[in-house]
Amino acid sequence: MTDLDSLRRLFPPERFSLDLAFQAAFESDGLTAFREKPLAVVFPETANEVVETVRWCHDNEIPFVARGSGTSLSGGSLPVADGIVIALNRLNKILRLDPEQRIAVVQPGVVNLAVSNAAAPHGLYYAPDPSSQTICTIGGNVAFNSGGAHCLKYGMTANHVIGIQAVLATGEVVSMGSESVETIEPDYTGLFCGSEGLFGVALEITLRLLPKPEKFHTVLVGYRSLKDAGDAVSAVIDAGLLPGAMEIMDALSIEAAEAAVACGYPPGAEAVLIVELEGPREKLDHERRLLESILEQTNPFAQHIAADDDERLSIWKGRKSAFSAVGRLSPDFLVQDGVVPRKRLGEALVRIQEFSQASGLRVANVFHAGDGNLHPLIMFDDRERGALEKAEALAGQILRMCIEMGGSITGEHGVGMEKRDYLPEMFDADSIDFMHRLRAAYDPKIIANPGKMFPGAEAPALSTHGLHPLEKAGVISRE
Amino acid sequence: MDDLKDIVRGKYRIVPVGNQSKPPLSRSFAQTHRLVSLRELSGVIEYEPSEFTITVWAGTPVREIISILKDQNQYLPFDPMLANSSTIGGTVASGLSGPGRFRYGGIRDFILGCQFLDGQGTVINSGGRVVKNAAGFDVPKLLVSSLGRLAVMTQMTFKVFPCPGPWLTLAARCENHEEALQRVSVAACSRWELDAIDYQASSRTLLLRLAGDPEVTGAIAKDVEKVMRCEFQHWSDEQSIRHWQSVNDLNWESELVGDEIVRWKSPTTPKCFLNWANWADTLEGVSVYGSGALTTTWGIAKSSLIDRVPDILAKTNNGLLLNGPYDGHEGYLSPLVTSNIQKDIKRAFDPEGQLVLCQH
Repeated sequence: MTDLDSLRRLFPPERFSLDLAFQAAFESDGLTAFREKPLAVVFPETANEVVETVRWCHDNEIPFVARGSGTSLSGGSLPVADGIVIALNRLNKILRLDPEQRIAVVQPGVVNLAVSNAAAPHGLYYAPDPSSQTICTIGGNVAFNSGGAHCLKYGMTANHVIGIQAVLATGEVVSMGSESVETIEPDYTGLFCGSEGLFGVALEITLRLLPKPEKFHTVLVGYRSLKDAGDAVSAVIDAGLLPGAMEIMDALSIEAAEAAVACGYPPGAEAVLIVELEGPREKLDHERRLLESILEQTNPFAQHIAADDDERLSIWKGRKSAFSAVGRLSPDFLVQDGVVPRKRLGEALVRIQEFSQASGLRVANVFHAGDGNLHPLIMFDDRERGALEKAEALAGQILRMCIEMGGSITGEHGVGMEKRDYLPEMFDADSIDFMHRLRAAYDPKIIANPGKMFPGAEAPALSTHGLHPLEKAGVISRE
Repeated sequence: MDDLKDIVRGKYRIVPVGNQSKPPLSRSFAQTHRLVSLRELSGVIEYEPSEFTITVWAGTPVREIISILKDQNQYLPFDPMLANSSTIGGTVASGLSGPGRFRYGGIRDFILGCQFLDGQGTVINSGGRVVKNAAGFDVPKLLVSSLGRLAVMTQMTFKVFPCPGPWLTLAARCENHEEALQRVSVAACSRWELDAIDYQASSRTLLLRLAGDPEVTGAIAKDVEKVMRCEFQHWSDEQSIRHWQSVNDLNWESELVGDEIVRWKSPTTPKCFLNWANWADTLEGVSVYGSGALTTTWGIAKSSLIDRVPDILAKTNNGLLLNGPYDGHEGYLSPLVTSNIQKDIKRAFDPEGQLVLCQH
């Protein structure tokens, strides 16, 4: 049993916890199927305390998991057995916001939306907008290269992070990038983003801010078939438009959203498409005419254009609530995050339907149609014997389908715990071996979030509890 | 590819090059390494306009890629520099994004996947071929600006966008550099979605590039003039294309041409750019040009003045040499200090040092 006294001495008593009941709050994250109790939880308030903690872990060969708000949907911030959790929520300061340079320097525990709120008075915002943005933290966003609904046009978190100061798993503190978007060295900042906590812990993150779009043109379109909705997306793309967002929901997810938030989507729709243009008013006045003429040709049976901001938010409310809403239809569910080439979306949905029928499990579909990122929601009831295993098998079929179609096992949630066994199906052995070598450069002792991303280690105890508590409370909704 | 693998595994240390349009990046190693050109690894592997992705061999000329995309009304939003003389591999390896990066981003924001040979000649695949992918480490980003010193890139996949439309270039004289900085800031924070925000220091000329339907850009241009409260020249198409081509060729200063001219790139903040600009004002034979709202400083100078560069480096950032008879410190204006992790990463790619070693 490791002697934690020397770790305990780094913190005042109220910021070091061995209490099992207290730790229950940290034993899972957004992937509620897995639970693991850590040895201890520490609550640093300064970058120096984080550095000292990581160095202690390195010297004592104790694994650690850095954690923000624990909203990871892939089990990325699940604790490790015999390891500690470094809870970063108290490192929550926006250290600097420079509107002239359009950057913000933040600590990892800063909530995503807080950055945009701070930038708003200057007419700026922070673009990456995962649905959990009212509570997820920038540190977590960096670790998982979080996405959102606007990735096609604006990219992911990594495209908005231009500098990181971090403590690596070796204890070395490094500064990557700078306050300029330009660089003359390899992009170490870009590599750190999406490394899922396997390299170390970010201490300060330099974000780039964008001018807020002046105007939005948001359209909700109802279709009698998923195929029609998919074809509409292709038509918009082929016309040369670059919408800020394009989202599709199928009948089951519409039903769920309607029951949860009364979003008022067209009754009888087999699919709805949300298309959002954004930009200067002069450009939008021109593009909206083109969009309208395109959509007219795509066989919609209903169309609603948001007349103002309230209506725009109302259109989005249904989409943003979809995951949590499905959780009300079903005691348990798994959410997937695969990507397929956009032209194969229709085919993918047909195959998912076939998998669903064969398994006897219902699957609701919500997806970022603009970038081919699917979110099948596999519904099951864990009280039924073997239901979880059936759901996992179905999830595996979907992941394999994505790989076979030339896509990805994850568009934005990351590999984490959930999909680690599928990474070798996406990358060959030499490429996986290289990733191990690269990881070992940062973490030779394999103490930074071990057991994630790569297959191999024992999985923690499986149990299913449906919606994350914050979802049940309506504080967050999933992407 | 098999030949290339054999060469990487062979007894000589190597430096991969494309067209060698940026000699300072490889010349330092000519005595100790074999320069291996990837020009023959050329061509489009997969292009799906509706997917917004293109996969190409590293030795493909950039102008060929631009032409193929243009036929489908698409383009590379990172606006690759030296497009007429470079391969795409060389562009990624030297990290040369141009003025158009202001609108949507640089190479790092559009590279989706990369296949490369590690130092042992093993083929490694990283990233993917779809526009959204969070699986595995984002090694494609790391390889941007890696100068061929970590790996030998063989294939890369990019996200592409629809062409934004014809250019409208607005040019305005500024009283001084400080006024230019202030105007750049207003433009960069504006609602206008500008395509490029550049500044030619020697002539004190602010350049705002709009791209889109002429009705749209014309209307926005009116608002630009109103908000900025200054008169802009609307350049003709010919003048506009000539200027942006000259920037792309790093030839904006017609008096500074020839083999004895040194060219470089430096990452800057606007305040850093101001230091470069003020320094250039004190010397005859130096010109600096700011792109991307002054986040990139391009410099050209007579090679006889290169010993004056260290004076200014204390107040700016390091730079990457791109052309001319001066090699600097293995292609950098001042020596790089390499951290432990950078050395360890290098070893992960190239355990036996077949590529350029970290020297410091």
